[in-house]
Amino acid sequence: MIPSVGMEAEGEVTGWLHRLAQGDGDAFDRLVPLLYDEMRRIASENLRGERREHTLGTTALVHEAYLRLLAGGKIGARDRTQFFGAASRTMRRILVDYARARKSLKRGGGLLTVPLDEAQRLLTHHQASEILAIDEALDRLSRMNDRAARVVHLRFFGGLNTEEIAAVLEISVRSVHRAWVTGRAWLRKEVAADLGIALTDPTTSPRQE
Amino acid sequence: MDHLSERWMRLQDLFVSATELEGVERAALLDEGCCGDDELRLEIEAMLRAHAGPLMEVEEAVFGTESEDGVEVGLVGQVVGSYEVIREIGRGGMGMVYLAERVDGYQQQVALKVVRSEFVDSEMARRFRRERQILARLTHPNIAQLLDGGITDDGRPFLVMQRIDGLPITRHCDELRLGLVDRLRLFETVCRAVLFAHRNLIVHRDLKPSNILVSGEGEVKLLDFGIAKLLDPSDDLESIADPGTRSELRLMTPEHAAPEQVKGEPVTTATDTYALGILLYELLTANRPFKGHDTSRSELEREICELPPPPPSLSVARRNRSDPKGMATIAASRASTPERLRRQLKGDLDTIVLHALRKEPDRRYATAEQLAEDIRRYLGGDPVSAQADTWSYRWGRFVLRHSWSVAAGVFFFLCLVVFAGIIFRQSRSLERERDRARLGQDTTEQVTQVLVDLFEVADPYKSPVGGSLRVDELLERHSERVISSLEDQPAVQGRLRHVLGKIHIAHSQFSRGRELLEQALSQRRSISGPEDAEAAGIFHDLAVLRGRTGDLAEARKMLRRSLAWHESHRGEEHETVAQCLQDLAEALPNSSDEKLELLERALELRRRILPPRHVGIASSLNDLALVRLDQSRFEEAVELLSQSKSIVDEALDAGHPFALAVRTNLIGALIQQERLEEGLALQQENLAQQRRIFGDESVSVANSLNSLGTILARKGDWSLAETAFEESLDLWTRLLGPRHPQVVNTTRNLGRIAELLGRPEEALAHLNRAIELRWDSSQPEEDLDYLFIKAQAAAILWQLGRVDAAEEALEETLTLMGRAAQESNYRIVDAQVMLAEVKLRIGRLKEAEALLLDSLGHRVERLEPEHPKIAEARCGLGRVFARSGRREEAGQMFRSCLATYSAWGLAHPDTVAATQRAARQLASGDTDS
Repeated sequence: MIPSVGMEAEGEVTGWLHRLAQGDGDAFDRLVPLLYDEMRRIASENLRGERREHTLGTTALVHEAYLRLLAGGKIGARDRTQFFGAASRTMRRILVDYARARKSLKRGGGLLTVPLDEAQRLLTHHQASEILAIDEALDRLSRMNDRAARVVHLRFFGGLNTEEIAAVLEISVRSVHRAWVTGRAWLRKEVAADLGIALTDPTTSPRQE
Repeated sequence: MDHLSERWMRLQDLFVSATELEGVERAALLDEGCCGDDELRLEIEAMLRAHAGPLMEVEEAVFGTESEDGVEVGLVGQVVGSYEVIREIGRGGMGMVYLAERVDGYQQQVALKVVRSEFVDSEMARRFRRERQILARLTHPNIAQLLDGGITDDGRPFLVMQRIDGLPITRHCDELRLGLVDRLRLFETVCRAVLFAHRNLIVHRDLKPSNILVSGEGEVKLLDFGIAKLLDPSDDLESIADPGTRSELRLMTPEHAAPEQVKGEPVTTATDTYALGILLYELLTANRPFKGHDTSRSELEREICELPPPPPSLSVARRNRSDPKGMATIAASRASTPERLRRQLKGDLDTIVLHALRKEPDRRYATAEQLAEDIRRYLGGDPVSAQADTWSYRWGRFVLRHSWSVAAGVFFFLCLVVFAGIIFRQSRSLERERDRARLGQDTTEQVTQVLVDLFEVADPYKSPVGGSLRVDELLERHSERVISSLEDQPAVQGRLRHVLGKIHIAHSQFSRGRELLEQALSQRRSISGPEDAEAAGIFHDLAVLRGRTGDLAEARKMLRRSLAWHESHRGEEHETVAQCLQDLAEALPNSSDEKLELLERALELRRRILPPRHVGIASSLNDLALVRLDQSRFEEAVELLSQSKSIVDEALDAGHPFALAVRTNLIGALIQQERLEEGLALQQENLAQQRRIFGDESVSVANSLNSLGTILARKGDWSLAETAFEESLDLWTRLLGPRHPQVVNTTRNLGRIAELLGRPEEALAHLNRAIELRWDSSQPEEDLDYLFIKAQAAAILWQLGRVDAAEEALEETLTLMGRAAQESNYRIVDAQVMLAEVKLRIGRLKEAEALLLDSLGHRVERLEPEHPKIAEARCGLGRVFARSGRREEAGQMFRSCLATYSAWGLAHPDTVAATQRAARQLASGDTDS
């Protein structure tokens, strides 16, 4: 059950997930770099690919990483849960790295640098600003209400849908939905304030549908 | 929970509720909810703007066009045909709507409608071209005019329509605070515009408030014949069936869809009639008959196809219970109050709306014109053409159609009903014996003659009234006149009042019955003095009535006096003494030892002095069974009630009130014993007879609805159960007033159902209401029932995220329960299990384990081995063991109970889900190691 040195990335990820599920706190720090590499690779491949629109597509990316890293081995429900938790954290790091590169900011020291041209193809300047604002706002949210922050995190960066999040956090689908709707509106408001965008209320003017 | 997190939860509650409201209702909610916290309010308002506003760019990138919001690449700034797109003004299921302006200098603003790209295919393009042709022909002052159309550069069809500057009809009405009459006039105009389209062989198919705008000048315009379909002119209207229309269903707004649309059946003009019914419902009550949010789409669709819509007046009463502030605001924007609005809707308007909303298209109004006509008749004070469905039609078919196979997902944590419902129990023959003893022969004859005269009014050959009158109508119309005709014969008049009073009571007209009895009593006393036997009889009947209308303390006081009087005047070996014992027992709480003692005394006495198959004995058996039921000794209860029923079946007519009561109680006992099949069979038999004898407005029917709700709830059919409970509550409240124990009971059932349906706030409101009612009618700190409702309410707190409060309240309640009961009782055990669940969730495993072990021991001792409640306690323990790493023991527990769960199901769905998760984790852990 303990991963041996020199294992393929696939087996290694499974092993660390298992240890993480058993409460090994260090496992998380070992896991994220593995995921980071693989997910960056997938992102780069997507950018080089034929597809014309380069959407961020976190759902597809996280799920593809899951398939590549874990599809081979048997994996329990608890390990799967841990995977999506870790993958969404990784996705957030990747996006923040792209955003910083896009805005030509110095990285705060860490894993890898992101090629500027990739960042430019992936994100607009405005999107990069939004991601950085979201990153900070999510930290604030998690200090206020950790559960709401985790729901938003899993939905936004992990690409999980409401039912999957409910399973991961062991709360009801309805609670997830409420937390997501509230968290998203709060995030939009915070980001708008950060970037100096005025929010207008579309319902105050007569409208036609 | 710390301060920040608490504030967030408050913000979340308010925000989510606010997103579901508009205009004044939303403002009222925020006024109330923020209560002066301006910072919170500003924050929520900003969030609401953000919620309704555009997405962040990065959101669009992350979620793409697949987002739950249906993001679509916009056309703003582009030129489409000869129009420049200025801004987006709306999104529908099928496309986007933009404000656009002519580029060739005409200065005309128009609405430009473009199909979403994922819907663009050849069929869609064809449909768009067709729509264009249809609409070009449709010129009516209340229908938005089509101006132009074509194909965009990226191949999407578009339509250009007259731009209407207006508000959705519902908002227009609310902002102008229009009363019902003005709303109905506007609605009539809508009907006539729809009728015009129908005459041009066009069905709208998606009528809803956002498609019906009212301009500042008050002019109505129907928009968006987006999925209108040209009816084949060679066919007549009734026989239209085009399978090609079915693919459009996914585009429907489900809240407004008719059953035939949900089922993919042919759409006709009757489909629009249904949509008009929904619109009218919303205009009148601000609610929709079927709830869109909080239920899944498939659940909503099932509701639309199967659930009888609650009458608008009931919907108002319902909202007024769960959200009195909100309902007051809604009523105010209709220039009314909740109670007045309810009364305005009750009757013709209920009937009109329900007629339009019938499930079967051919049972609705045949045309929009007929609907418009009924509105006009209502406004003119003329009788409407719509007929109310009978109660048995509305309910009977659902009960009949339900198969037991859906029972797989039934989860119940607690008994829903503490069945306390003997309704009528007097043995008529005993009463007659008593009467003869009390009265001189001549008085009896006179009373008989008066009654004969009274009933002759109902004979069509002797009375100009015509038709046959029901007894209650007869009483209402003529009793006063007959009584006053006897002014000069006080003895006969008093006797007649007594008889009529009892007839009123038998027909659930309690306040009038009480009035008559009180008059009879004072009349009798003034003639014969306080020690008179007839006066004592009337006094006794008044005491019993007190108890039945909820004033138990006063009833007990009076009944003790009555018992003492009868014992001293009749000797202890007399049937009236047995009756006194039994009536006094009924006024005592179930948990009291005295109650059981009195009932056993009454039974022994009757066995000594009556023949063995006498109804008096059946009556005693029935009451004893109710006490056994309360002690969860279900098997004994069923046995006693079966004995009682066999006597009653022999001695009384099948429709006799007492026979019905015994059967109703037996149904309750069978439900408690989980013998649902037998219960349902008996229930159906009973219902038909009750309706025949008492009509729709009686406590018997209310009681049956409550049992029906219980059965449905046990089967997992919660939405239908909720409606049954609501109708029951409505009847109870009207017949017995708001403070009767049955009102408490059904209110509590509604709370339980709301909880199961995932609406904890509403559940809490119901339970708090039940607590409040109970507080008024008994000594709460000694009453296990009352305390148990408090425990139920406390258990809901954790679902609202208030875990600590839940734990504290449950512990406090359990302490009180322990003090109130001499020995452990099933309610205490149920409350213990709730507390254990809370402890388990917050990780107090040791405490949870102790509680569960104790509960399990108690349940194993009293219940059958396969009883779901035993499985429930075992599952709880399994989860405790799993969490503490005791895998072996956990596995044992899970294995023994999961089978029972899937067969029965008796826990809260969340609990079952948690158990299954725990079991799965355990299983996957096992295979890995």
